[in-house]
Amino acid sequence: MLVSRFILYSGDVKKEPTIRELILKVMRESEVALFPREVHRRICSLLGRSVSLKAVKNRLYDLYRAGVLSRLDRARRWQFREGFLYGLNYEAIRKRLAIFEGPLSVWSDAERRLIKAVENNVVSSKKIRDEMGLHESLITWLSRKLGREAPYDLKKIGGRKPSELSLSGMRISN
Amino acid sequence: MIPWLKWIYIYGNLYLYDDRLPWDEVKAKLEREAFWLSDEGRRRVMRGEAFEKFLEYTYNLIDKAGE
Repeated sequence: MLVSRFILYSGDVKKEPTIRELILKVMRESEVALFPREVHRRICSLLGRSVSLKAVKNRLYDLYRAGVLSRLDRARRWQFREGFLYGLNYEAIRKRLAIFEGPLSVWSDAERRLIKAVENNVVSSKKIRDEMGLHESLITWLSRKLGREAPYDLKKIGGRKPSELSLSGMRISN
Repeated sequence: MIPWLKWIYIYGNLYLYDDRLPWDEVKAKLEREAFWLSDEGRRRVMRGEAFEKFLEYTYNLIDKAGE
């Protein structure tokens, strides 16, 4: 039996956006950096169907290699449980890292408590240990992970004022 | 990762501070902490403790004399 069907000319066929295009759309719409799983979830809701997470991860990596996206990775001494954090630029990543509460927070409970304890403060690890009940080795590890070593040395002077902080060998004048 | 979070070891003790605070304020606090951790600071703590014990002993003597 002969059946007639209407077929659009190829030029008029509405093409489905590629994963790469969808990733860029999601990233432009998002103010903060996202994990691959979050990008995948948003792409699925945009398409109205499921796509492979691996494909999304691969495209994200391609875009990162091409210099379109930025990410935090091991080279920058960072590794997240959810994977790499991708953003259009470092500003987006910085914005994401600045979120301490809610579902977009990337910090664990211990990390969040440590950051809050140090914010606008000068504290010893012993005080943090006593107040939060965290083990001192965990505090040391978190400090090295989250922060940076101060560029100062402690100099012994002697007498009533036996020590003074100085900037990497250079004396700080008050 | 947190640009303002800095750490420093003072006589083997880890200190964390917010780099956004005025350096003079941070420096004063850290130097004060360093003083109490130094030999001189520890010596003064021991002398203070000995003095407290002596005071306690003296007050006990006075209380006993009063009875």
